[in-house]
Amino acid sequence: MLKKEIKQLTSALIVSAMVLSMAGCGSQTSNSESSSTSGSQENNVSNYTDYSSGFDSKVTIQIPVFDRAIEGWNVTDNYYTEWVQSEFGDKYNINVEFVAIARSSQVNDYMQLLASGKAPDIIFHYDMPQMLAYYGEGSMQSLDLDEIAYYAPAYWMNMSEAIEAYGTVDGKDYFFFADRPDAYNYVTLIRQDWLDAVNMEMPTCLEELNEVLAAWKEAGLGNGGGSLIQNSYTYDYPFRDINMSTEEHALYSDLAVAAFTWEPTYEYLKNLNYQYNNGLINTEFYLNTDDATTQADFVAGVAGIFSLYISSSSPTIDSLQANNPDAKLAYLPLAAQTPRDNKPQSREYWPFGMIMGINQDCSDEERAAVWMYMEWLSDADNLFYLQNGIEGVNYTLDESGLAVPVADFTGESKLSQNNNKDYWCLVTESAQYTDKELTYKANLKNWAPVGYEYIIEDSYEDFQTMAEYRTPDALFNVMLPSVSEYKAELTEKWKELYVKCTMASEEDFDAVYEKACQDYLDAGYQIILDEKQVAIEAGNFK
Amino acid sequence: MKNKSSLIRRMGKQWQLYVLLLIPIVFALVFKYGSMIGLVTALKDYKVVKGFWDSEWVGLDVFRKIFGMKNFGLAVRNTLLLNILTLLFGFPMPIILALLLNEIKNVYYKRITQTLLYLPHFLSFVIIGAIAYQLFGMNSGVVNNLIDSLGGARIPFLQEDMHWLFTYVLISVWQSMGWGSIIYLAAIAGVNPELYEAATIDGANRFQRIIYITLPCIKSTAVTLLIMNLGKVMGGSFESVFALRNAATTEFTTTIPVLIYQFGIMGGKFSESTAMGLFQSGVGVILVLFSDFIAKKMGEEGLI
Repeated sequence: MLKKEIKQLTSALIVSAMVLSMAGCGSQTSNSESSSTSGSQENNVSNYTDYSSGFDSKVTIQIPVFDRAIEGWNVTDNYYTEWVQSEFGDKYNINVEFVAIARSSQVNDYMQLLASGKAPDIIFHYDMPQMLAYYGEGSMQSLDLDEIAYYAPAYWMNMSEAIEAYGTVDGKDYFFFADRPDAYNYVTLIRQDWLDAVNMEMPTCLEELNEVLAAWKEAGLGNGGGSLIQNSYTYDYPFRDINMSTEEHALYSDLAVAAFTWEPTYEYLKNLNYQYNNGLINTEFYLNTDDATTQADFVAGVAGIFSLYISSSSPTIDSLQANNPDAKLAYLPLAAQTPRDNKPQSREYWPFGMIMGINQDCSDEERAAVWMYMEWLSDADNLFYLQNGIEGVNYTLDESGLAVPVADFTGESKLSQNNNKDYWCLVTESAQYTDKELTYKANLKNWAPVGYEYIIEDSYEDFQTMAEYRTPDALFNVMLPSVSEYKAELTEKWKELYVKCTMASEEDFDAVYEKACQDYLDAGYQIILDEKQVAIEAGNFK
Repeated sequence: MKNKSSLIRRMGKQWQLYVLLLIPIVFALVFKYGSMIGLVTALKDYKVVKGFWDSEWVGLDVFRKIFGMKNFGLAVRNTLLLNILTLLFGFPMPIILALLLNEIKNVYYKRITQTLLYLPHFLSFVIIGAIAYQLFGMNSGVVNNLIDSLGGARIPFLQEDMHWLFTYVLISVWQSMGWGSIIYLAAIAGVNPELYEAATIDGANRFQRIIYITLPCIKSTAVTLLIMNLGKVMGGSFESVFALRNAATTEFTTTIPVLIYQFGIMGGKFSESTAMGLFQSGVGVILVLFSDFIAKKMGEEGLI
């Protein structure tokens, strides 16, 4: 009898404990505190309130920052976020909150934050097509350029040209930008020791590169790498006709939608098909869907070519040396990836880096605070501190004024793995000194791992000589709804069809490609082409 | 009057059970019924910032659009194909396993085998997918390396359409058969041992005992489970397909859940993906009702 009562009591206790814990951890779906948005923007200069002595009541701004999942680095709470709060936030009675956006899933993260009303005050992305997609969702408010000039005069002086030229959509101003000085840190590395092993020179055109790959295969060294192209369609640049018209360029060249039916794509796929069928590239290239797997092939010594945005702390070269102590690296010039009869064309970066917009839900005070933050970030001293750290601790200044980082620094004020770039990318893409020479030396320091400065030097040379062959994307000043409509489907179609064409036998290639083109057009590409054609004929592009 | 008060009294006596039941009921109300409000997305031109209430109504336009997509027809075909194949091969396996396990006399061996068999159920398909490529990859997979060293030709287990289908069914069945056998083992344990004794006296050997005693006794369990599984024939299977698919095998790898993921999460097109999900659930409900009806006709108890 007693035993039965104990059992009943125990069960009652367990049940109540469970119910109480459920109530305790039940999360309330909090409604977003959307501060009321003021309707129209006043254009009178005199209407701007001067907050240089601070805000009356504490204003909170949420600044997005990329989270690259680096071990040991808390992206929203570290020495530098605290420094920003004490130097900027406390001065003006602003609470600066950093919101982490995962780099690899940034669009998903933003969409979910927007859907739940918790998106940060700045909405950003590096590419224009995606920013236009965010605009299409109605997530941003229109801007008053005079307001930016009032609250952020130094920033405005730097970026007004770009903002006025590129920040307009459907007649209103929505975007503001970060600066993009010349950058040449995207490099293609090639195994020099493998070239030496087969007694061949650095290839000067695609045909020669294919011969090198064949020689590597013969000698059993490895293949030319390969990965799945899933976005940022710039693969066709080396195959383009240098004399193509601006209309043709505007119609087909698109970062967001692959121009499958275009002649350069045919050439590219034909070459890829040749490389695949002759075992010159990784025959399982379509399984390499991210940087990690592609890099793994290179580091393991299976692939001899690899492209990356190199920085002084990139783990690639160290890992490669650890696995292959005899490995020697060289920079593969753009010409080596271009057919003999073509010019080595590539995509010209815009004169801006990060593209930003202000969240629809941002109040007037919050927006003013954001402009003040941009102004504060643009200050040369603040920027220098964020990019280099504390003088005498993180770095020392040499005679020419260049910041020389202390090797293997592990103190409290350690910079993030990409030198805090994700914090200052709102105003610029790379560290700048007033002296061009000094900037170049700084780039060498920031981008080249120790002992590999020659790679950046070669990249810089290539960058200079190829300048005339670079073309920027065409920019339409009207929204093209069909692009955002069909982008998702066409991305999947592109992956399916281009892999199918690559893996077809050489005799069947033309037939397979024809059929694939028809498939691609039917899936929505024809509609996009038609819509673009209308816009081009109306002259709505530059 | 008497019935009502005795019902309340009975409930009062067993209040702990009802409180325990409260938890899954609240869960179902919040996450299953509460989120049904979101279904209106399928009838609206959903804009993330406008949300459920302020987005425009467009009626059946979204459905017309998705039915017109070529991919959607392919996805429906593939969903049915993959689920029916998995059901076909995956349904008898737990029963066979349960029957076999039941025959093991050594208690320790039986327990160890059972545990090893249901462990795969707890593995996420993300892990299973990664391991599958390590094992079955054509150029560097362990199994293919073995085949190659024995002098055979490498087999594209996951990199050719028909082979992919076979490997997919194999992996799905392997993952779920151990867990499924638990229910059957419980049902078999409920069979009256006197029936076995009577059969042995009548001269039935081990195999005949299984066929004529065990199987008929678990028939009702099997039919109930079959109904539940038939209802899912239009459903689920996102993780398994997504973890195993790659860009080279596209014939069978586009299913409705994958399309929903591509449109919804990757593409931000919430209206279309909700419409697809609604279609899928709607068909699922019809199938469950239908199979329940068939089961009742066959004399079994059915689910509803």
